[in-house]
Amino acid sequence: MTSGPMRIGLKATRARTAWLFLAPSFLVLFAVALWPLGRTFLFSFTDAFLTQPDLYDYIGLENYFTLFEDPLWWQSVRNTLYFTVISVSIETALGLAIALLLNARLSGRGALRAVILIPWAIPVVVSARMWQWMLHDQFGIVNHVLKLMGFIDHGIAWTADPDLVMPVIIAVDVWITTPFMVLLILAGLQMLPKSIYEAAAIDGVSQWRQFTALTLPLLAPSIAVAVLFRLLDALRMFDLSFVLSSNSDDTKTVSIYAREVLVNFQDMGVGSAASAAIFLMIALVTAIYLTVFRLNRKLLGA
Amino acid sequence: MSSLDLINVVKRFGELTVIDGVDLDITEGEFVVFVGPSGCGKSTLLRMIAGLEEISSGELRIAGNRMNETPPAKRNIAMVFQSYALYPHMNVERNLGFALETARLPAAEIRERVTKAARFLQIDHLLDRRPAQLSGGQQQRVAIGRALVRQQKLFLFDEPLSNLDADLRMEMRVEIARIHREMKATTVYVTHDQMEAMTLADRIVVLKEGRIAQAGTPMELYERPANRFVASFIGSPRMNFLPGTLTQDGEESVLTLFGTPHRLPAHDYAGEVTVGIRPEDLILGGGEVTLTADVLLVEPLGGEALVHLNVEDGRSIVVKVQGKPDIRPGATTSVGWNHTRANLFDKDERALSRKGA
Repeated sequence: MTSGPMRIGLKATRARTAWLFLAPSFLVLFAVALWPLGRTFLFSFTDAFLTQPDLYDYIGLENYFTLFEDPLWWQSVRNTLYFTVISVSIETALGLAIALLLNARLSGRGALRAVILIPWAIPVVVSARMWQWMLHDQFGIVNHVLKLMGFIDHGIAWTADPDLVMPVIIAVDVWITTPFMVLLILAGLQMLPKSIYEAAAIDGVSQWRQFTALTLPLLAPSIAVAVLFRLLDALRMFDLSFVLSSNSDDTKTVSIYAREVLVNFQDMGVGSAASAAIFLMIALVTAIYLTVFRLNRKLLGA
Repeated sequence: MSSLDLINVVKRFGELTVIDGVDLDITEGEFVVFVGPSGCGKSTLLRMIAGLEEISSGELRIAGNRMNETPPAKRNIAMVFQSYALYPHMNVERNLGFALETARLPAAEIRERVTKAARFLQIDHLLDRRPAQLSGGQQQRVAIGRALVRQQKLFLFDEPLSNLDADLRMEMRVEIARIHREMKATTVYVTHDQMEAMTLADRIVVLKEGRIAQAGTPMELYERPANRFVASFIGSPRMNFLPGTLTQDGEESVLTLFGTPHRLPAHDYAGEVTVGIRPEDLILGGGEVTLTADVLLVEPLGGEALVHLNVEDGRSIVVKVQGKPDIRPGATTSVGWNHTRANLFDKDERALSRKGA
């Protein structure tokens, strides 16, 4: 039997070739993701400072105790979760509605689809600056229009009022990232077989029931993937809040907190501990989400 | 059961006319098959009956009532789709019962109807499966079952068997015939397969470019095709066609084929004609009209054989013979037919009839 050893030899060669092809991407991944992550975890157990990062001692979990005793950290966690839940919920609902609209046979659908992508194509910092100007309490166009329409007498300080700033940030985030949701959900919608809707129409299934009994369950995987992407993005949100209200504790996200400790206070140890905590938090949320979704699918029998 | 009337029905997509004035009366309980090549409008016509396509002009009546503006759900029809159109996220039981569930029927009755249909179609052991876990044939049975449970008076089938392999197609053909025999519902069935049309139909409607080329019983279409299109579409292998000219000579007609005159019973026509003879009507070494031919190829099919011949101007024709012919490629033979088995078509491809016939 010569074929046995020969087959193994062939398999080994193929495996070696595969590793060879994979090696460059592994190398890059290691350099830009794994190594920095490892260093972050390492520094989170030290008393290093940014001015002299080479001089440090291991101090165990002390940085984590410092972090978890800081009420500002917990506030930024609350801010981040609040921002994530509200903005992703609104974006999903709005994205689904607009995707359904665009999926209908509308004249000029192609143009609409292109136009709707514009907010998402603009860099977030640019969008944030733009909105900052539009929301300016004295010169902003939003206050100007509201004044003209007689809704308000004095300009509203949209980004300075502690009660308004978070809703404003959420609104701007919705403006920026709803197109992304629309795009992903629309792709899912267009994969649905058309004939089942014809069958349903003949079977006397109402439009609303077609939506709830056919469209929604069949679209669930697409929506779930879109929501997951948005969750990961929203949990590490930095730019929008940083530009629109840089120093307000009411809108401080965990990413801003980590940067503040690391850069402003130069405290590499606690900063790294915060970064590590953010990493674990995002990993945890993702794991919970995926588990729930998988369980849900199993229950639905999809 | 419902009758179905199409009165000068037209379908236009912008400038393009897809259905060009179709008139057809279908009586209660009849099994009518629309057949034709792709693009002839047969599926469009069916979808117009279903209400999935609007009718541009003309009238559609079901059980005598105008239906042009009635939504599909209110036409009392059930339809089986080529792609089966099963709900992918529901199991077989829910697929079957979904329409009834929507119609708010009592749960007990839904269960009873679903069980009955499932048993009738021999899919009762599959009720817990989802469509993706079924074979093509099983999916097709579920699709038919979904139509059955609604107990409608008019059944529409849109190329239901074209995604199945040959064996299953035959099996499902028998099944559909059985369903029609037992349910007796008026049925309109679309296919491009003339064999399905021949075996299933009470009446076949052959469509060509949005018009009815001929409508009649399978044997009418086979024996007396109204035009060359129907003649070539119905029957397999297809009819052989030879060019000739027809002239009058007193009480008789003379058909000239490849320069040789043949006397025929009188026809009311003179000029260029096409002679059509079915492969099974050709006789090797005999017949009232004979030609010499070279044998190209013999295809034995077991009980019968197809003999491909080259006649005088290099045209090839096919002869179907019983058993295994004692003939080899390269040999020269004679082939012929009897007058009564030949179809003559004028230069507009319409069938010619004999004088007084």
